[in-house]
Amino acid sequence: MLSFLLVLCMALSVCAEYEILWSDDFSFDTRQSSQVDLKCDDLISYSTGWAEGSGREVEVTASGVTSGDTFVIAELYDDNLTMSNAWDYFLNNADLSEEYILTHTTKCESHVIDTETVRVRLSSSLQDEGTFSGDFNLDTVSTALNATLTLLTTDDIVYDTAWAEGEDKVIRVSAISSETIPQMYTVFESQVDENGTFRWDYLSEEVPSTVAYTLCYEIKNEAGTETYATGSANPVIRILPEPAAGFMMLALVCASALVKRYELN
Amino acid sequence: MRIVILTLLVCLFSANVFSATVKSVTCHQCWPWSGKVDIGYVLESSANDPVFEVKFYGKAGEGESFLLSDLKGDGSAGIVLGSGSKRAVWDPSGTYPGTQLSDFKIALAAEEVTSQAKYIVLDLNAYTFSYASSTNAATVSVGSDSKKSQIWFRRIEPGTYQMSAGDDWSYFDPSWTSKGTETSHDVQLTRGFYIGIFEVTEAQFSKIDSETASESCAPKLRIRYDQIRGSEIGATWPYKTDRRVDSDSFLGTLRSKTGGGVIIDLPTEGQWELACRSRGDGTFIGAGCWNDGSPYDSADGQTDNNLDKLAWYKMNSSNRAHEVGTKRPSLMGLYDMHGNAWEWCIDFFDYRYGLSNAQLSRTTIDPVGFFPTVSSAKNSRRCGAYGNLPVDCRTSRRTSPGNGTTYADYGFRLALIQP
Repeated sequence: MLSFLLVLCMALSVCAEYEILWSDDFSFDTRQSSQVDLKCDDLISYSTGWAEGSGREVEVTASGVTSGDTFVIAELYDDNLTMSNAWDYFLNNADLSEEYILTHTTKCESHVIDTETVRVRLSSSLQDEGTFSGDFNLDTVSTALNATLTLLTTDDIVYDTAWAEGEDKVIRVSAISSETIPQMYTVFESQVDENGTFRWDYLSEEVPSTVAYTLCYEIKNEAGTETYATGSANPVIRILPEPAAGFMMLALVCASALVKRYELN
Repeated sequence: MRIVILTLLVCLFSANVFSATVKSVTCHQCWPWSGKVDIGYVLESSANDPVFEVKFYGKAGEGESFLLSDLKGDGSAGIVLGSGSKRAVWDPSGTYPGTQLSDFKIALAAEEVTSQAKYIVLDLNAYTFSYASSTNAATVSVGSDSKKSQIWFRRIEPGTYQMSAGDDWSYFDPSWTSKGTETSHDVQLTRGFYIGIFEVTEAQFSKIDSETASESCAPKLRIRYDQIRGSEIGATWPYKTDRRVDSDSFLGTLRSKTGGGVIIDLPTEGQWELACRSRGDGTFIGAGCWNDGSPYDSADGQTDNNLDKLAWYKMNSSNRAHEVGTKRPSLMGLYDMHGNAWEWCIDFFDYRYGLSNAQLSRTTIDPVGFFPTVSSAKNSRRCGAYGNLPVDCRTSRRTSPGNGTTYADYGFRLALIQP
């Protein structure tokens, strides 16, 4: 009896437990419709159900059959519709003699899970033109030249943490080039480090080593909405790139013998 | 008899503790796009990180039901990680060309397989997932296919562990300059995940990337971060934690072949280190030990007798990468975590993990790494390669190459993440 029950029990425990649920009846039609004539004030409708939940995307584009011109008509990502005036923009700029292919792409976490197309012709044009505006902020930076210090990209940079103590502060250190049109590179940005040290190799591959740079710093709150301190450091520095692999050992010996520490402030 | 009944009850309750619930299977065709059918459904389970095996059936009128093919989206590859609302698309034009049907039904069949699915296998021929169970991770039997035409992933349970557990620096060169990148702090991962048991091999890579051809079981090397994830949307982690990638990247190509329901990606640093330190019993290997639990064992910091069994590193590799999985695995059955190739992680690198001192003193939950503000920020890679000494092969070892750069020893390992 015991054996029978145990065998029964084990059989039950390994038995597949598929739960099956059927949908209601629905209809579909696989007969292809080749073309749709649209007026410019027609609305394009698409299912937003697909865009619900994290990582869901819907994109609609229009591509000219002969010209190849492509317009992004709508991008819907996690229910946030962007480029909402793009349909008008397309209508105002499309060639009315052209035939376009509308492509509706559904993605999930970058998987393209469905792409559907329809050919359309436009029969009239809207008059209103969209307007575009934008705000730009240009930072002014100091590029004063002084004595030059050469740093190995593997050197540590040490900075005074006195003004950076406390929580919720972020320090950003930028390198401003001395070129005619100064270029700014953010070489370090992080929560305040009580040790006041960061590694200099952030710049190793991205910036030219033939020009001089001024280091600038700023301390902000975490949200970046409030600035506690800004300044620049002297002297100007020059950067040596990280040594090539074949000379790594030699360079490391040199670096350890000639440790240069650079004090901001 | 009481004991028998009690035993039976215990067995019945212990079996199928987690069971799948399927809700709201809805189907419709959208005008005017095509004849394709959108399928929505909801999966539920009482498990924390459930794994579902799913199948789709169709039936016209009172006809026989049949297994649907030509599916894309969640579950189309056979496995779904995580509960919640799911979506798939069925293209009926292959089965019913030029047809109009008004009484069709679709069924969703789901089984919750979390407890069995210790390993999930991705078939690189059919691009479908299946699960393989094993109670002893270290002795799981895998053939050469697992290094060429399959990718095996091991389930890693969530947990709290000490990230960058402080190693004894007197064991290594005390002047070693990268100590500052390792600050011990507690990390909690609240969700399980799956991680590749091997580094991605050249053969696996060439199966997915049609521009390469190789049968080699050595790790795919000289790979850039932006090759794996892309340089545009794929570079937006951690601002976009949905893990989107560029469609023309390696992962974009792979994902387009496998469909949804499972996210294939690089692991975070937190996931990588949890997997490396995990013993599989809810405890974790701390400082001073390799990932099979053996202690550091070296007289000179160069030849380590225990590392020699686990990893291809400077003192045994003849300065070249070797076939993956030819050294002893970790306690979780993961191979080559300590050597052979440096492995990219998804996180951007920061010496302090992008955390303030106050944050480092608390337990960090599900860390996503540094939030970079410039394009020159660099991603993390972990834990040594064939040319490195033991100090670079430690679990805590982390560094930061540029995400547009690569060298001869940069490889990667994939993870399966719940959407």
